[in-house]
Amino acid sequence: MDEQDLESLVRGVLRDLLSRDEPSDGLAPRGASPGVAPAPDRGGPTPDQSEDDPAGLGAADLYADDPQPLPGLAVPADPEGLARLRAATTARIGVGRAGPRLPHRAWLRFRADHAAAMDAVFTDVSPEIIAAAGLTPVQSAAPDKAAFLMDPDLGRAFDAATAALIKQSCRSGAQVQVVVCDGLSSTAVENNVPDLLPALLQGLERHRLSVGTPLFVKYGRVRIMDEVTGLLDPEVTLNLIGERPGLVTNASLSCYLTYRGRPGMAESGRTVLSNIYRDGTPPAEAGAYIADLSLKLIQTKASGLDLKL
Amino acid sequence: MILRTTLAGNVYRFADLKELFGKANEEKSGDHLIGIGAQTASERVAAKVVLSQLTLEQIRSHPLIPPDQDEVSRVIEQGVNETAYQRIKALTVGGLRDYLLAHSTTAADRQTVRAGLTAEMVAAVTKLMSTQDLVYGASLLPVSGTCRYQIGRPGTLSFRLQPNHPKDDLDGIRASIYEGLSYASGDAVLGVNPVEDNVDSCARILETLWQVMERWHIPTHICCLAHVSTQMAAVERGAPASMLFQSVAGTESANDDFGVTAALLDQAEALIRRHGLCAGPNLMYFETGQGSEVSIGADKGVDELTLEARTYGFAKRYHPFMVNNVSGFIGPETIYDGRQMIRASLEDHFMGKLIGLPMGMAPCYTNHTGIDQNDQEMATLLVALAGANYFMGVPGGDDIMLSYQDTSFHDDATMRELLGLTPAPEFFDWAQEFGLLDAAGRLTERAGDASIFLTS
Ligand code: B12
Repeated sequence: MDEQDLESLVRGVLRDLLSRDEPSDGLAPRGASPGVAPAPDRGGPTPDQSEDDPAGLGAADLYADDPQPLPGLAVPADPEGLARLRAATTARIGVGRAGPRLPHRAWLRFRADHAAAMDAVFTDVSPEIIAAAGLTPVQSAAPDKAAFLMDPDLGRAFDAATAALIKQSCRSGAQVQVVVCDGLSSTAVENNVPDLLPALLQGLERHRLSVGTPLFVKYGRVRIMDEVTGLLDPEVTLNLIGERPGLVTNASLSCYLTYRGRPGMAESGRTVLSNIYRDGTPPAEAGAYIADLSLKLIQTKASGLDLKL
Repeated sequence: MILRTTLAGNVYRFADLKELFGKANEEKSGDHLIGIGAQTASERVAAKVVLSQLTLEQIRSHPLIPPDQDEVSRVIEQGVNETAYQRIKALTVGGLRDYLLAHSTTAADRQTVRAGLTAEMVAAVTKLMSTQDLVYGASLLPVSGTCRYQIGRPGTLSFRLQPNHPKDDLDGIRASIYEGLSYASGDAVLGVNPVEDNVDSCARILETLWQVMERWHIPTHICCLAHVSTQMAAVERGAPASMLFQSVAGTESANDDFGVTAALLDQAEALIRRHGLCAGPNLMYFETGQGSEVSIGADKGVDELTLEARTYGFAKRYHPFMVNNVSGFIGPETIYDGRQMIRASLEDHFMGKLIGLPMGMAPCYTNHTGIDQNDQEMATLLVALAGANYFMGVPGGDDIMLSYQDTSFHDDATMRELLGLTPAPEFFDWAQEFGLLDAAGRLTERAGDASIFLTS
């Protein structure tokens, strides 16, 4: 056991001891909860001993609670049944109440999750991940994140130099063109693309579909895929893009697909698969599915509302 | 038409109604995005002054988006009752505001006025209103809708239970439904947004909702919020549905993006009338929200408040059972902060009611704006006071599939208790029989425990 393991073990024991006097809800804790994103790693609390805090851990860590805490619901009619219901969803159910309001731990956990989601918006995809995935990086017309957020059109266009570069350096006329965009969550790209992309490329190869040069667009929106389509003329264009961050996950990715898209096309011409992440559609599974879907688009020569799934 | 005024010695001129309408708004980031927001505080007031003196006739004869160029404009024009219009056309916008608020104006008078208004007139008068004007004004304009039963009657407050799941997992959906029902939420509709937009999964979700409704004899409605064409195919195949849902917007080109036309919605309404679960007469459900047009570049240079009014004008054609905004759903490019979100919620509710729609509300926010839960709760209380027909019921206020925050089951129960409101009578009876609400409509001891649905 190395030092880190030991430290976390000790911390766990202390936490258990400290939480003994928390009101018990009569339910077994959910343990490694299936659905809820782990607390962001903030490096762990530094012990800071004092008289009323001999263990030096500060106020009990919210993220040590069951993610759907229950203190307001003393005796559920069917405790095991309720545990089963809670295991079926990551939604905040079985949280109990104080009068009609949320009990305080559940309320604070909500605030903590909101704070983490807000902080996640301003991160960028690491260059190592882009390189490791074999993506060619370019940037939309948005100069920075703030401009990207306030003016969506910037994230839907390239400046002339970038457009020329894409045209020059990427394969054109392939059957399938892959575009990856940070969109509203860089974490979604970092967490899912490393597993999704290989499964996708494998699937496309199995279907004997030719693939263009995969691109990464920093500050990209959904419609930037149409600009890529205009420049490189693939049959199918895929946009793997970070969805807006939520409280339960800030790592959810979508795939938008077009068959023979074009700049200015209507949104309804796109097909979309959303909620790709560990507890939604897992990335590897999504990769295989998107490969099949790409084939279907090519066979039926349709996407969006014209494609009957 | 006079589009100029002098304010404190400065002259303000506006080129046309589009510019005037944009500048007369309270501040919204979406208006600034397309460069039509007022540049200074004084310019904003000057625009309101000019607007207040225009007559309703001048507004109608200078369309912001001409009917020959836009289906939404045509639908709105077709919906005007000409007799009522003749009676009110000489009113100024300012005069209309005061008339709507006056003690001497009767409910029947307001009914007449409503029939003669176009969406642009409604937008114009809204721009002259303050927070309390919007709350008070809307409270004088109740509109209810009847599908299986009526919701939106004064004294009641209903909820759409929104049990979404990131994999459309039916057990997960059921779990959230039990939780919501245990708080007596769900009398407007049990309505799921499906992840997968295809006929099979839409039908599967509708069947599940139907089973829950039948198993516990719950008098309510069910809906699956896939694209309307998907729902139509599911219903044609025999899936149970109380109403059909669709997102709609205030320009033809935005509706194109959404894949809808007036003709498609006509077909949808005819279909659900023949094959739906309920007698109606109100059988459609629409979602809207300020900023959807500007966020996709389909705004035609018109401000987001006016486009929202146009959306309501379009929706009115279908005599819907439910209409709710989700202003705050998109992001900071349309609504920047809590103040703008609260304002938009009040405006939307007032405009919807003035146009004659059974308006519910979804004061909400995403995590890439500065809006927070405290702002959201203020908006909720204000529009509840204004008489919103219904709100959403989302577990813990956190939609785990759409990734945004909206009203929770807790908020729902709180508002009923605070304002002394009860569910729709049929559902209220059920909730009392089931032991969830007392005779005053307050949560009982037993309420808030989803597991009661496993033991009864
Ligand atoms: C925000 C949002 C919207 C906004 C879009 C405006 C905007 N500027 O983003 C509004 C409210 C207008 C909207 C409308 C609809 N939406 Co929507 N939306 C979302 C949401 C919650 C987040 C999307 C996101 O994070 N975008 C990321 C950023 C980077 O994208 P962007 O470039 O800024 O914006 C684009 C996308 O948001 C895209 N988009 C949004 N929704 C949809 C839906 C479809 C079918 C398409 C092709 C594109 C699309 O349009 C924007 C403009 O290009 C997702 C849920 C999710 N978890 O992803 C659902 C989601 C994508 N929407 C969905 C649906 C069904 C719709 C509607 C068809 C509903 C209806 N019955 O009318 C309409 C029409 C959409 C259309 N064709 O344009 C479904 C798609 C299901 C599917 N597999 O097809 C999702 C997954 C939610 C759900 N499960 O119900 N939506």
